[in-house]
Amino acid sequence: MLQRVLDSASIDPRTCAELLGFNPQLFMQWASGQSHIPESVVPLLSAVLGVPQSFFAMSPRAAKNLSDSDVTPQIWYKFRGPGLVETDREYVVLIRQIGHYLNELEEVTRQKSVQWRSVFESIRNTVDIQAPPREQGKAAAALFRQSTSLGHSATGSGEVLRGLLRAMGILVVETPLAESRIEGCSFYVGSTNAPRPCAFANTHHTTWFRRNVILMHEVGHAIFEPFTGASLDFLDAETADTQELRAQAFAQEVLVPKEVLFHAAQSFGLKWNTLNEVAIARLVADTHVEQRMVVSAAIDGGFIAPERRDDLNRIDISSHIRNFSDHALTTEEFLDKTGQQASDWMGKRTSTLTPRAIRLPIGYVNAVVEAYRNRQISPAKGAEYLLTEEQEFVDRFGDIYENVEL
Amino acid sequence: MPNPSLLLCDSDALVQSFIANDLRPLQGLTRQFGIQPVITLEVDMELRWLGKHKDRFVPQLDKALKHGILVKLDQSEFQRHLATAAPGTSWSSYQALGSQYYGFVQRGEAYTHAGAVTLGMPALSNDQKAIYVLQAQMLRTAVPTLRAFDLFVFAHESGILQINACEDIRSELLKSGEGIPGPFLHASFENGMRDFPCRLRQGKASETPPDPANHHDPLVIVPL
Repeated sequence: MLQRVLDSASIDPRTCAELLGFNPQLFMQWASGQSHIPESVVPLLSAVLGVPQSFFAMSPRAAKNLSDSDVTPQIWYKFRGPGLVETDREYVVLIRQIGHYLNELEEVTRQKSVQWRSVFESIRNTVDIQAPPREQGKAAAALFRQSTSLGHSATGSGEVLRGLLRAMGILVVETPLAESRIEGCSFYVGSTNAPRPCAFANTHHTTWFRRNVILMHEVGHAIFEPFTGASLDFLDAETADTQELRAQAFAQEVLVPKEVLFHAAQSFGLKWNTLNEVAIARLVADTHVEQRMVVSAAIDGGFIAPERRDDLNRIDISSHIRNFSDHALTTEEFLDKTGQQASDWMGKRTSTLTPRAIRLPIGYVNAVVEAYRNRQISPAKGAEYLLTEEQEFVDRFGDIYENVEL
Repeated sequence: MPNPSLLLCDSDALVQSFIANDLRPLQGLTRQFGIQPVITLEVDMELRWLGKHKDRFVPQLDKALKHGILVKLDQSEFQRHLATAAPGTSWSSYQALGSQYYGFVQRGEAYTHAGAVTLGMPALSNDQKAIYVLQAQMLRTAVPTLRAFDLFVFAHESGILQINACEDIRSELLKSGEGIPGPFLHASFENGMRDFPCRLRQGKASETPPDPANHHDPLVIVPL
């Protein structure tokens, strides 16, 4: 059964084994049915591949009667499609593994975050299913802001966004995928009976301002399209289908509703009719979203005329934005300015045991380290969660047992 | 108390025997004391793909399994030992316990301790931190839990290994950057042994040593 699921998902068994930390030969024996899959492995395989655990206990005879459409998990329909490469699927395997680990960790620490479920359900139940897609997105955004701390603030939310999504139980992953055309995507992770949404942004050649937009856009997809398996957004793709319009309207209205734009403009006495590169740079810096979204929000808010869109989008703000926001600096510039080391800033959350390195979410790493420091998990377990060696884990986060008589 | 029939071995302890390329202490346990070293399916899995070592230990593991030096604790092997286990013990109860432990420690340690607790057997594991974490969660751990060096010291004391072989094991492990107990860090095996409270001891059939109650209590075994 494992082989059929892997085939249907277009995942190479050897690579999958290494990504999950199993001997490839042993994994192939499980896949071919030559040896039994140990029961302790089934929950992980089920969560990563997106099939019920009972699939792996199915007899070969019963499995024969199933068609491919019966065994292909929803998510892999999308990820085996055109425009996607092996690397994309490999990262999905890794991210889904993190999703499974996060569920496990929350069980152990008894800190389960499921707020996303009630917020998403309330939005789905309230938004008019017959309304135009952009209106649906905006209405959803208003509800989203009301249901979270964003509703109490009129300032840019980029700096609190990731923490907020994580506190709701959403897995946020940002990692560079140089070989991929995916700019952002969303899908559900975790076992089939304990799913959680995941929003992913490819950090390769994207700005922090752009990624804020991507992440909220993906959350928009996760709210409205729970049954599509995955929503994929490609670099330079200009699609105007209803789902994209709705997700983009959602992102814009969550990140830069009229009050946020108004507040940002007022804070430095902006005159909308004399909008220049310095003023736009300041708006981008204050609202925490990219230039195109600022312009779009200003048009939707009635601050500027729609005819000015193209001209304003063409204005080059790159030399000014750096004066207003550290988020516009390159990584090297940022580290220089803040006196941090790259190894401390990113190295501590990059996997080392997987054939492909993944930058783990800060919130996830913190949760693992906190559980370790509270002696809820062993250092070896912490290392497993961070996809690294135990010694490396201890080097990164210290040995809390150094002075303990064991 | 008769010798236990099994010793559940964890990956980290076995890796030290593999690195030292000396399985005689394990062999000696079976031949001279009737104690069969076993590995859970999870330890078997770990040893076949172990972090930076990847599949380095597969040939040694396969050889040890082929020659019966190690035996896999699969469902049928597990059931052979149910007669001496507590009433109500089953493969499912072992799996459930292992799954519970796996939330706190790595897979190998989790199922090794779960198997040992379920069957009432000792274990061999170097991971004292895992024991600490499990006990902090009020979970039972293997009684006793021997360390690889308990086995090496015992092997020397019971004539299975000559002192030179033990010195070679210590040197090899130090060279490989493996963790070894404090007394052996800056002293030869022979000198270190004097300060090392070995948890595995040889007794006489006529004596009745106290049953070990904690993971660090000594286990006294008698020759067949």
